[in-house]
Amino acid sequence: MNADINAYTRAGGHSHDHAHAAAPSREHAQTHAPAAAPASGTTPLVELVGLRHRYPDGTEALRGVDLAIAEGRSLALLGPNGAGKSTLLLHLNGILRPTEGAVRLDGIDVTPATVKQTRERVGLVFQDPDDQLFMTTLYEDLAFGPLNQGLPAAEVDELVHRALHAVGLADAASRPGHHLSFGQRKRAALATVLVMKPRVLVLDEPTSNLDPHSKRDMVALLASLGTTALIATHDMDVAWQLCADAAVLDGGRIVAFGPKETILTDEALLEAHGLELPWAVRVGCGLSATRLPGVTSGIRERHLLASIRLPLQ
Amino acid sequence: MTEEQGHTDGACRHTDGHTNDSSRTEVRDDTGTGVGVHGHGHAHPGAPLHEHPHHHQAEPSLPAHVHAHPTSFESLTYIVSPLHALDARAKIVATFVVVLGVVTTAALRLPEFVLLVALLCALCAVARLPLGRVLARSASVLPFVAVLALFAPLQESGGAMTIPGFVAAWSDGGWIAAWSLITRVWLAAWCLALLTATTPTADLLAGLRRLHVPDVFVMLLSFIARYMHVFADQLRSLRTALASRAPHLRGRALLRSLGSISGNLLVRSYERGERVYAAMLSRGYTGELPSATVSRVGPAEVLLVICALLTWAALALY
Repeated sequence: MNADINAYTRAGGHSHDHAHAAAPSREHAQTHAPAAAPASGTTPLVELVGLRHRYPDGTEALRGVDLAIAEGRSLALLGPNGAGKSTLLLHLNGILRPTEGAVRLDGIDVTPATVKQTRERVGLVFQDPDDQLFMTTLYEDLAFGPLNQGLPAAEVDELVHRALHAVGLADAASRPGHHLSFGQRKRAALATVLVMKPRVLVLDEPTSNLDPHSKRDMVALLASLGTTALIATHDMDVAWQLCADAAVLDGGRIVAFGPKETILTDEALLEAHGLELPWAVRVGCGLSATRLPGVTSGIRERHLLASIRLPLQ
Repeated sequence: MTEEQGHTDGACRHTDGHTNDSSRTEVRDDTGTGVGVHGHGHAHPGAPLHEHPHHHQAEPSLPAHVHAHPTSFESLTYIVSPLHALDARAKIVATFVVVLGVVTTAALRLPEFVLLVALLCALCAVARLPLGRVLARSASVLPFVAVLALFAPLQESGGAMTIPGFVAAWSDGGWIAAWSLITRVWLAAWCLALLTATTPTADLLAGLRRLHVPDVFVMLLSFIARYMHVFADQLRSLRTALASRAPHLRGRALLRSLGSISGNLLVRSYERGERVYAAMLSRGYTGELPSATVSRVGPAEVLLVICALLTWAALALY
């Protein structure tokens, strides 16, 4: 917690003031989205351009999404239920094809011709680990990806061995999925993708339904990986801890995109899209004397009171 | 193949509450490299020799081997015995041969039946299996076969449904027909119970694949094995939800809600199927199931299959 507060205060110290602190969120959409791209000048590793997706039943899940993730950055994809997050994730490795627009990996369009190499580079972890662990034993589940890549058995064994150790499940290699606890299954699902050494990790709700201990383990594990990542989550604290950037998706559109210090401290924006401030920010708002973008002194005092009162109850 | 080594305790720690001070005997069965899936056979006081296969030699830094001792039938496959150690393919072929032998004979005569029961009992003993649990598992086919056996006598007497025909059936060869059906199906089920109690599901499926059973069938079986439990959990929670909202549901209303439960399960399973397929595609699935298991056919495996063939021959010639 302390580290979070420090990080927060440091970030807050920049004091880039936004004039429209209390403006309605649609305004934010227009001001944040084009301006706050964290690109460093080079081609982003993952790029979505004007992405639209319409399901066969006519539902338009994505209505023109533009998003870029630079190499080595981690992006939190936030949004209320039904915002189109899962649909967006399924586009990143070509499981779903855009109705319009394009998905680019390293500047190359994801097409039927390039989909195989895309899937080797983009590691997609599903929300429900039971969807990800479909083989009879954990070992087979981890070996599935590398074997499909055509690697020799000895190399596969070595990769599986390392991945199992990385997630702390080396002792469970020959256990079937239903003999693992939910927390173990969540980590195992991550391992099935880590074993393929992807350049981009795409995680759908990596901490959902986990008990506090398992959640902490999972966050520590993810933080230790340091790969480029896109993390779709409802957990604002996890987003705050793990990601450098944040994007808010609502109604199939990106309504805000920028460094987390801009997005995750903007209470009006978050409230308007079914989200809330991360706990660290709330406490930080109370403790920090610095005026922050989007946080009025009224909000600050309210949160200070809330953060003090809660532990006393 | 199996290298007997005396191991002092501490090579692998236990978290089951039996912190056994008595020196545990370990039978190590691995390639010796310390890498790859292997298990250390060991026995606690009051429990059969068994092992918990894992990937790497236990290191002090790793969490101790979880020692759940589940009560499931599947847990019997952790027992260490000569029969458990045999290659899955040999066991599958041998079981297939004996089952075929049993079902293709005419009605089993009493000595044949007694000898077969003795053979299966002996195999259970060799495999260190609790006979009661294997028998209970094999008896699960009896309700189904009993219903069929009720109608078997009618066929025996030409299918006459008249009262005299019915009575005649039971007095004539009817009893023999019923006996023949029940014993043969039960013995076949016992053979299969023995196979599944001595072979972990994963090995069984890998064995089938290496016996060139089409991938589609093996894949289907493996999905059944994997998702049966998920499905059962879903069913349980749906039934709990039903019971908590409508505890006194009876008759037609109950039937109707059971109908919607099964509809619900069907839709959920279909959706899961789509998600699992997406997960498979994400990891480069192209329609072929890759396998990393290694072959292991030695004299013991050949001997088992030959014995099975001899059993068939004995049944056919007797």
